[in-house]
Amino acid sequence: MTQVVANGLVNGAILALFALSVTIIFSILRVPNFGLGGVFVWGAFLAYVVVVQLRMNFVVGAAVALVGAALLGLVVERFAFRRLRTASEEAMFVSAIGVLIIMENAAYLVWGGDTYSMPVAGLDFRVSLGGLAFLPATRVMLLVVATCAFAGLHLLIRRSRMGKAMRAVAQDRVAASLLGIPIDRVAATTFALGSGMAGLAGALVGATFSFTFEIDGLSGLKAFVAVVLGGLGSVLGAIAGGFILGLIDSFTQTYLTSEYKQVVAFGMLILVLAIRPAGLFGERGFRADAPRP
Amino acid sequence: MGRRTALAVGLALLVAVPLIGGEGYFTHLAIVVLVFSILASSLNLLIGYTGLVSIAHAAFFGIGAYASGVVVARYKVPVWLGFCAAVALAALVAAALSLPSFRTRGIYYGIVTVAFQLISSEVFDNWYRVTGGGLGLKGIPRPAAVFQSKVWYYYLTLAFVLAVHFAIVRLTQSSFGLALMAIRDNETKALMLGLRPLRYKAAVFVIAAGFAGLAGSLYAHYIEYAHPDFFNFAVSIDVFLMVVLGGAGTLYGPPVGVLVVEFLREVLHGFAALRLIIFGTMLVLIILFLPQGVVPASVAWARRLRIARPVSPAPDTTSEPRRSAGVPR
Repeated sequence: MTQVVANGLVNGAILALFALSVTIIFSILRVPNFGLGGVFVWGAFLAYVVVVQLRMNFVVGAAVALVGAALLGLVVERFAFRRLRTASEEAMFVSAIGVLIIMENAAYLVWGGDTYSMPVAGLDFRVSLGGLAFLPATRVMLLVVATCAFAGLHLLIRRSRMGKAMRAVAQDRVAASLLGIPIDRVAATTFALGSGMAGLAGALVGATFSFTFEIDGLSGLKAFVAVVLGGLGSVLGAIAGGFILGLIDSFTQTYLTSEYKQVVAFGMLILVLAIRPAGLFGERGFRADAPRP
Repeated sequence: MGRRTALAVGLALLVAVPLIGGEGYFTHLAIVVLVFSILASSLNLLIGYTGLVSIAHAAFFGIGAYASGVVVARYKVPVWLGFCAAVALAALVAAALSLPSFRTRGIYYGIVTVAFQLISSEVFDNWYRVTGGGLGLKGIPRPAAVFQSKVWYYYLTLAFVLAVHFAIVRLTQSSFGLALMAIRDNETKALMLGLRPLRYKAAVFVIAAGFAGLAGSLYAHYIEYAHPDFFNFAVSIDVFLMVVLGGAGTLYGPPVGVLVVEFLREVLHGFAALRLIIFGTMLVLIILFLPQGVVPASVAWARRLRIARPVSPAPDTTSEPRRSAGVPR
């Protein structure tokens, strides 16, 4: 039981990190960026190159994944979404699906369908949680890094000048641009930030579990499930949604069914959208517009 | 060339295909193209005429295929009843799904359809006792002995394709079709005019799913086999691309899209990843630069060329593409 909860929390941390990257891009720019799934897998592979092939420290690997993914995000924003700034959400949705397919299959072309794993030196022991449950140290590291990332992002958005500009754009894009906020730069930064988070999540998952080029497609949608669960546009909601979904996944897999676990997660998405379109923690007005103040 | 002549020439070409292809691969491809034209044109009802971006058409395609395949192969039900079962089950599932999904809008609706596609794929994959899982469902028979011949199966499929397209044309010209387009162009305004958008959306969703189910049934009884990979997310993307590439919201666009995408699928057979990269790139490029689709764009281009010349026949205004056609922007 405790073990199931612990596993659920680890999965939840990954989903929360991913959900957060989805939610900042969506709430600030209204771009439903499914392409983050592709960034996620590239993050994992970048870390793999650094750690396994170049034999460097995992910290370097995670940093490379973060920066590389952020750059990838810049490219994606420039070429797939900038022209759609004023287009409908449907158009951006289609473009995002295109980006996801491109990145997922590019990863397949480069890396093939094999399963990869990267050992993290010095972290190959288990941590006992009061004797009730055991977690590999890598998973504990994942929890710690994810928590740091949440805090860092929160500070960035709440305290920095760019964060203020982002919140302004999220509230009212036209007014923001009339006030001289450089929308293009804000959009680029937002994409870099969100993609960097997704890349970091990829690196962490790569270190914790084995992975293939296919980890992304589903986790991309699952991040959306987490975001919707928590309430769109709400940062705390995304984090909570991620952990809730992680726990639910863990429990379904242990006690209910391992074959149909996606059915449970996605079925829940459809239900939540139908019953409480604003999400479990979202405000009543269908869309909360800014990251929660 | 007048509209009627064009239609007659097109029909003659369609009838002539198996005379050239015989029992060979060409006729096989033609049958697949016909089946997918049903899928694309029915999805077009959603994307092009109602403004609903749905990425779940392969799921309904699969539901039809399995429904018909299971009742005919396992329970020895007559094939025509299998076809009915396919249409009915796909429509029923769509009706059930429309209850929750139309409480959502825009991209939320899109997300629901993606989720539904993934759920369906997982069920096709894991429900061994019914679908045969990854081994596939074998022993789905052709409808009758005469349809063992590809040529005759082609004509059977063609009959269904013509019927479906005739129905779709009539539908889009009816008051029902007008209501759909009103909802696409401005849902609030449509509501103010006394239409009930939810009912129309649910109705068109059920109709499109029914057609997809029919396509699935035709496909399964032709291949005599059903496998989860025939109905997965990638296939939904293929159908989606066919519609937006050809031109959502036009009658001729999606079938042209089917031809192009099927051609690419054939050429890139065995390079699945490369093919998907190309398809993904095409999706992004179309949305960015050619949201109305290739067919309307080239019609407009050809017309400009004609107008540029001093002596030219009057442009054919009947085939004027609507301005708001294409993926809603």
